[in-house]
Amino acid sequence: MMLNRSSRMAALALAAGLLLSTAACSSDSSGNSNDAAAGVADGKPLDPNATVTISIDCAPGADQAAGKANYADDLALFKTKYPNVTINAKPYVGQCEVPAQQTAQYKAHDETGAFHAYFTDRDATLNSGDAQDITKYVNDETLPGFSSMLPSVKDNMTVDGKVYALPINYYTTGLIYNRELFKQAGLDPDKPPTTWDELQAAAKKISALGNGITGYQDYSGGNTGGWHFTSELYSLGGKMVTDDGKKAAFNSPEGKQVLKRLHDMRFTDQSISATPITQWADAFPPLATGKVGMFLGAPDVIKHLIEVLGADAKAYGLGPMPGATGPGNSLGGGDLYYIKKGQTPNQIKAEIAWINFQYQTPDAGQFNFARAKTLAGSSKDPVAIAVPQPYFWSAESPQIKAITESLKTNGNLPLSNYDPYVKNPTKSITEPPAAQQLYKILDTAMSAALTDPNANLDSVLATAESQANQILANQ
Amino acid sequence: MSKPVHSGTRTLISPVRLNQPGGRRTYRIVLVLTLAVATLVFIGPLYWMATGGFKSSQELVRTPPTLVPEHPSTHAFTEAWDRLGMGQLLLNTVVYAGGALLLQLVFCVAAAYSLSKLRPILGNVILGMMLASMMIPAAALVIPQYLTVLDLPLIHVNLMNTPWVIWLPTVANAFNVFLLKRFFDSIPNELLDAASIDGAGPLRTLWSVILPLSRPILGVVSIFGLVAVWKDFLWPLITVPEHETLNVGVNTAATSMPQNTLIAGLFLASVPTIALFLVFQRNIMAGLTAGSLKG
Amino acid sequence: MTTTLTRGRPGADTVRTRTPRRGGHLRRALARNLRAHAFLIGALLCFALFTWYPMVREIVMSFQKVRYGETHWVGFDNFRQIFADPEFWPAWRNTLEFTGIALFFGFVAPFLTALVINEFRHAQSYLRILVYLPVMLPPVAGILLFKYFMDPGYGLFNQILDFLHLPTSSWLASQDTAMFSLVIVSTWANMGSATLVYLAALQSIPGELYEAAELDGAGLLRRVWHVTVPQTRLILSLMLMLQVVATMQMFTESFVLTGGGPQGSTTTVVYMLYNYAFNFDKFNTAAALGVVLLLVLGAFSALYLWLERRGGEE
Repeated sequence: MMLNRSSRMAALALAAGLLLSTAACSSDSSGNSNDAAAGVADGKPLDPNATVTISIDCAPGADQAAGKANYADDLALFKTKYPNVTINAKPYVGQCEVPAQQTAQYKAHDETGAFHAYFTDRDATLNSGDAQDITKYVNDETLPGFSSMLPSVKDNMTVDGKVYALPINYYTTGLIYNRELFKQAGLDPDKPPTTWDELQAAAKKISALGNGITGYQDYSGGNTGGWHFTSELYSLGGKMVTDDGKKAAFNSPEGKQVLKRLHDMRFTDQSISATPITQWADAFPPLATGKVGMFLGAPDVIKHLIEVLGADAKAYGLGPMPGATGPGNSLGGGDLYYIKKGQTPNQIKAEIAWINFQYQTPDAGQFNFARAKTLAGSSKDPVAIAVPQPYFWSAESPQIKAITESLKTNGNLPLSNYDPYVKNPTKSITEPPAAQQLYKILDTAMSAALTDPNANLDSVLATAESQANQILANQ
Repeated sequence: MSKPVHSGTRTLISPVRLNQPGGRRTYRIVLVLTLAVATLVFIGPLYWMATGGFKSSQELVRTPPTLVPEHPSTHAFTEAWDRLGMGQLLLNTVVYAGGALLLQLVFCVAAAYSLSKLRPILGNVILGMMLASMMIPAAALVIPQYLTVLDLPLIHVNLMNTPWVIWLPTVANAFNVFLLKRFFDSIPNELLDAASIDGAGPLRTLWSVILPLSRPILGVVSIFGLVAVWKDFLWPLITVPEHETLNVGVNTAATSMPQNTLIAGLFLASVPTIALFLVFQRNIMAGLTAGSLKG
Repeated sequence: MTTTLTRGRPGADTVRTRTPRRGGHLRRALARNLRAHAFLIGALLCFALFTWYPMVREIVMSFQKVRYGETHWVGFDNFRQIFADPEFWPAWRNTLEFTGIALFFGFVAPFLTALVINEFRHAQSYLRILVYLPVMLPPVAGILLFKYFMDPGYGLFNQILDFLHLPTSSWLASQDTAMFSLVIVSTWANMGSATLVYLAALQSIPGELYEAAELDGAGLLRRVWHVTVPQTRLILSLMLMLQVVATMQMFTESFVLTGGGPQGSTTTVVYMLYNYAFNFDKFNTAAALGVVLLLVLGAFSALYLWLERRGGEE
């Protein structure tokens, strides 16, 4: 029997089809350019005439009409300064930096030239081996205001004295509260609680309003429980780990106080709702519908409540992080851009120039509030221009002064509501090592305090301590 | 006198017992009770989901709850459609499920045919290795699979965020190959011999002899294939974050929506398959029951 | 036992014995094999890429670590780390707890439902559609819907219990009831498919068997035990195995509903694996956990096959 020609071809095609089709979707991820003028790492800003192509991720995508228009406008403005720089901006839809997305980039080493990360991602980012040391490129000339950046921001940009990243957003946690509920409960909406005792008392009064309203809410899962525990521990002056970072230090009077108070508020005062909040965003709908009096969060949360959940802008106030005897320390957080290894000096310079223009220059890029005001006027969806934050610089720096001025003329939010926060800048403390793993452990402790009426908090905390010690020893 | 309860085949309880007056009354009571409870348990939540979208967020969290929306509004539905990007999510899911089904049918049928009728050297070893993978829980291999699709060995292609990352792993489905091979085994070789005497090559034989006989099993494999992609969560969560499936997309978007928009979104996400199911339920039911007996 | 081991596999040796040594035949056999393998190659490549290679790679990875982009061999470090992880044993306990409760409900409930539906001469197809309806939802939609029902305050479930003057529950909010609540969600959403399978099996039982049992004076329960169960034994045991393997991999319900809490009471093994990889950036430790899961479930499947074969021999 002769081999049937057509059937052999067909069977081979079947096999080849698979190979071809996989090969056809190969993606191009190289960021190299064939530029002869690669430039030198001389600490000078980019030569305005340099021809260079760069790439960056986390540009606003199709779901943010206003943000997208702003970004395009900024790219055009940047082009007038650096006519030969081409920027390939990779847009995102929804949330940039979905964990799986970021992990995939690190494992496949296909990040853009400048790539986005959160403060908390530092270990993972450096572990990928893809982050470039940019110490030689960063100074007051290339990055105006660099020397007046807050120490807690610099901590997150540097490792062992070497700079790896540029900040684009920074916040310290504050107390978000519902001014309407404060008024109804007979509390002064201009004087939010600044100590934990005051907070507990206020929560009790607000809960007494009934109607499913609770005074305060807090996280107990999804790593956010441990994250808030850390924040609250810091506010009382406690520490997560010993100074050498080798042992857990949260099984302390401060740590116990955090859990004990939450447990009392939940089960004795009934000023925390029985519904546990185990995911970051689950905290917001009850805040937006006016069911919760107070919550610890970043100033950005107010923007989220207004723009995403349609909450009333006037209802919310922002106070400093409460502490033991007055406003306390807080846990800082924010976003950064890292620069990828293996690029030419001119590419690195161009990326720094663009990030500086887009994210760190008053009255330009993200701080172009005049433009935001015009856009907000014509938008049919609610727009919250900006809630004041420390950004990156010290309060006396010319940058902060310029931004504050601009916000006064162009902002559309009731800025005086945020005075308690703005006028009480708190010291922010960096995250502990192995942060996510410690948070996971402390989720359990928070969960015990908030869901178990009979929890033995001392032993819960002791267990968490020994578990944390194991993790720190395995680092 | 009422009609006797008619029975086709004898089951656990004898028709004689049922046709006694007491038996018939008990039967009716149990039937009505079962219908009521089953309707409540299986339709109740769906009713709540369908009406929930018409309520305001405040009404949804009210105690006691309202059975019928107070001021019905469709706003939440349009809002949910936009925020979820429902059109895009549906399209993604259809592309993933359709492509996976097509590839599975082509490659699994070809493989099962080869193993069953062409019987190559080492065929049984290969079959054994495939079947052994049925014992491996999918979740246990997720980490190395994930790293593999980020950088395919030898050809160094990154499949992340492309449909291939969903499509290709579904072909490695030992259960499909097993079902198909067993069915092909049951087709008498004489039929194939007759075809080959007529000069048909293996591909012609597969196409014009085997496949027409295999409609029931192809139906079962298709349903399983579609449902698997439709219901998967962990794999699409980590491999296609830029082009999410409906299942994953609903979860992602759920974190940033008012309560009524969320409930409306859940309803919208459920409507397409429920509608498809109701339209094709006769075929789906027949396929599932026939297939499970064969398998 | 011995027959099991020596049982022949028909066809295993046919290729070799039928191949004569003469050149023409050899070429023909070669062509035939090439052609057969050409049909196989698509599936073969997929199996190689997405099952066999990852398996080897997982084992290799579990003995390595990556630091600053460089891979090192670390012996059993990863395994030591997961065994020392305070969540490791609780995660197994949670997983087994879920499997246990889910089996009780996910196995018994569909069987009883099928048994009852099968007795009805009316509304059978309506009931079949009803139980299968939830299977058609995107799983996350069903899960999120129940999250709303299970709110300890305004949730529908507590409202109903309250209305009936029954004690309310904390559902997902307490470590005592959280796992149970997950089982309810999962059973509601998934029992339809199992019910249909059992229904098909029940309908294939010859009616004479029941008649004979009845003549022997067997009551209702004895008929179930002596006729129904043995007649559906094969399908029951297969479903049992599939359900054990499926429930041991539970992830979605915990991930969406509880984030592994309260107090870690719903953190399963797969959830832990996900955390290691995607929250803690420890892929190699996650791989070690994957190897452990592989061994445990692989051993379980092997045990099942062995028991099944032994049962078949009797």
